[in-house]
Amino acid sequence: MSAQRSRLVAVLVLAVPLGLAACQQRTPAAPPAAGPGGAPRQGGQIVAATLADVSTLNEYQSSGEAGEAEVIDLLFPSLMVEQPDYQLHPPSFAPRLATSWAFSADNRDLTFHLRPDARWSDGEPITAEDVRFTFQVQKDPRVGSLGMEIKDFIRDVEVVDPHTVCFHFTRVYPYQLMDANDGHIVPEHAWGKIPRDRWRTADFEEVLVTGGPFRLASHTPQQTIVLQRDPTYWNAPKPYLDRLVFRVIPDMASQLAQLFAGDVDLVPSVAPQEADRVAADPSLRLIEYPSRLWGLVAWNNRRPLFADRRVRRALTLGINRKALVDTVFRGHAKLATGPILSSMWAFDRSLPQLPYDQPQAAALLAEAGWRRNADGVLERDGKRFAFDLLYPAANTLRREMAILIQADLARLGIRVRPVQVEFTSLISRSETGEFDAILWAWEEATKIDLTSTWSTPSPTQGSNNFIGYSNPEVDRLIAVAREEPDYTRAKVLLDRIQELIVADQPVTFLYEANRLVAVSRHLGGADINAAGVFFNVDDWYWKP
Amino acid sequence: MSVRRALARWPLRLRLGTLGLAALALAAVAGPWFTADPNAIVDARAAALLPPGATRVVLLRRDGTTIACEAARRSGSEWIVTRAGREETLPAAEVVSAHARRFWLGTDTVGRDVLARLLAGARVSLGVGALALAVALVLGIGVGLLAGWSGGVADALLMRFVDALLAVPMLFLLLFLAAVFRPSLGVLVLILGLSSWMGVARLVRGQVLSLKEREFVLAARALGASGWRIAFRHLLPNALTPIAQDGALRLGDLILVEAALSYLGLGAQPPTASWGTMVAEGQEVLATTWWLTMLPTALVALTVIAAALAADGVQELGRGEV
Repeated sequence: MSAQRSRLVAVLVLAVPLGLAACQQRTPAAPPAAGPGGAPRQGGQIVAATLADVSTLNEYQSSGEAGEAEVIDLLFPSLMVEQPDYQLHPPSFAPRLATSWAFSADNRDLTFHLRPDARWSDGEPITAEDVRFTFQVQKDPRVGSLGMEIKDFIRDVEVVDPHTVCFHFTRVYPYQLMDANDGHIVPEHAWGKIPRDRWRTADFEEVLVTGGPFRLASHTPQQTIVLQRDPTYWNAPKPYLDRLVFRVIPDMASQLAQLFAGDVDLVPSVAPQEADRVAADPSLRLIEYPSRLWGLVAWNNRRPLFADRRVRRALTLGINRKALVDTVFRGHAKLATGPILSSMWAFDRSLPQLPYDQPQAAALLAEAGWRRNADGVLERDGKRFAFDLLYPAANTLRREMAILIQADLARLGIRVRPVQVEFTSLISRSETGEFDAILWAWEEATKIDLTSTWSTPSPTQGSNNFIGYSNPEVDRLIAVAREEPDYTRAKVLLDRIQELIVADQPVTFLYEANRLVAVSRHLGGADINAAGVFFNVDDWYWKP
Repeated sequence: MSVRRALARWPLRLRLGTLGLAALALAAVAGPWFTADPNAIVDARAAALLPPGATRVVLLRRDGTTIACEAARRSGSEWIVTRAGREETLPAAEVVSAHARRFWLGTDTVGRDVLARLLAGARVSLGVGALALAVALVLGIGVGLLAGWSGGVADALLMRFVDALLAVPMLFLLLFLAAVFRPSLGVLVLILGLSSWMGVARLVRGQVLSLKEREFVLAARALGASGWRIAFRHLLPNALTPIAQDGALRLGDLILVEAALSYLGLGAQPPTASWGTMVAEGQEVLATTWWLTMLPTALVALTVIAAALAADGVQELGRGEV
């Protein structure tokens, strides 16, 4: 499943990394090991825990909030599979429904050749007509699908013959392949009959026709989603598994309890404080890799308190971020440096990491006019340096961070009041700008586009820049970089942008979290990596 | 009757209950004088989640921060410390002092002393409970006396108001109020007090209704005593036993509710320790570090049991007198 969409949904992840994840050192897709009794065998089932039930199995009806993304990826085909190699260059793609593809000489037309043997679960062939139908759905405002603007620069999808389809672009830009691939193909013969204005409300489970390695066997709301091997799948004899069961277990502690009890084979996200316990159990395997979830302190740049860049730099210098990350994540995260993740190709490796340096922080604050008063609290023009640090309720990791930040900044004479705020009200306060500082987290997409988060927010376009950061030079460079088709040339621009943003410190960059996945010894052949937990599900098999 | 004789007449439960409450109150008042700063982070990295009884060498640095290490020795102009299993060096000029410190009840997730936090938390939890009880008693006794004594329309109005308040699901109301007001200890006391006086009012009114027809009250009225005098000299002293019993039970309830609200993050705010917030902070690591949640839970339970014993004892005492 493409990871572009995750960027659009502002994820304030609750307790630990959720959602799609990323990888730095990908282990090569191990051919299912043929150790003692280890040859991949047909049959068996794997039970995976999931925090939330699916709210729909139609991707274009999804709000992106429930747990459906991974299930949909197992049920519906995409043209290609995004590879977890974005630490070297923009992600490459492997064939899935499309066996090959090619750009025209002017790069405005992109032709896909589809596999002739792909079939829907009802036996109908998957054709170019389905690809065009899917595109029409994606662009239809009556459907209003979540990633609609991803298709902005695709004018039209043309059916050349039943197994050849051509995408016509209105412009040439670096992410054409990724944008064409975004979204799963849905069946025209089954869903084309449903009027488009009923798409938002229709129940697609009743007319479900799928085209992936698995099909839906049963769905008990809030309990289980049972997927069954699809015998018409083109990659026969794969998948090896007969069944893949998703069990809805809404809290992470219960998920782990069931994993230890052997009722569940896979927990997709383990809290860092539980990692040692999982690793110590010989019947379990803990898989760890850098996710694309990163955390920050969002300073409200619009408020006078944080408008001065010297003050923001002082706040970063004054927080012992290394100790904070090591304490809170118990070694399962690394210190973040700037706006691009260190696991991505565009990361500027020469970027300076601001040190923990309280004397320098104190000097910068003094330069900005802050003096200690009789109580030892910083004061300027009779106003004390005091602010609320908001964090989402019931998030223990963020609470620990808030306590550590409070203690560090207190030594500089800054009064921090950690305030926990219920999740939805935190989101709405971020949108209305009613905050001083928030402990925030973003889930980064594999597509690098800094516009939404770091460009000056424009009144007409949606923006994730809720802190109100504005630097005209950054705006200009971002606009140039996103149009640059050659990624090595784009990298030069992106390096400069990273330097500018780190110098401005509109936020304090805190951590890049690792993803921790726990699996039981019954799961064989799995290559779980940054492209997704179910990345090579075709090769998974059950070990007795 | 001497104090000793009075005490001797107390039933065992009352003695146990009061003893328990008195001991907890003493620990809450005096304890924090003898322990370290409950909010001080000794060492977020190397002193987090230490088990009860663990000892560490704590170095105080020039900037006021401390670091904890398993072993430390001075060698020339440097300190060589073993910290979280690794050797590090520290310029001696940076270190102000070094001493060994035992963490009797271990440390929490960010390296703070659990014993110090439990005692500081006792202050908050018991203090909030006691103050909220005072608010509830003042309001409840006032309204109960007024309604019971005046009777008629005033009584009907006041009691229907009480009924209406009692009909509101309390936890939801508390959650709502705590979400509307900025959480602080003062707000917490008011919210808890204002939401729990109704039971007291009903109880006092009932007592007043039964007492005001008794001969000694009629006699006082015939003698021309004022309403105030009758209320405080004749009615209240005779209603004292049920009020004391109710108050003791209510104290236990209030401490539980305070813990619940703090657990949900609507009570004491970080870094202030309260038993409820300590349970919340420890629950993520419950499987491996039981003491973080079990100790504050046990203290809440102890307080509630002591209060219930005292309440039972008061009732027994009352029965004995009749």
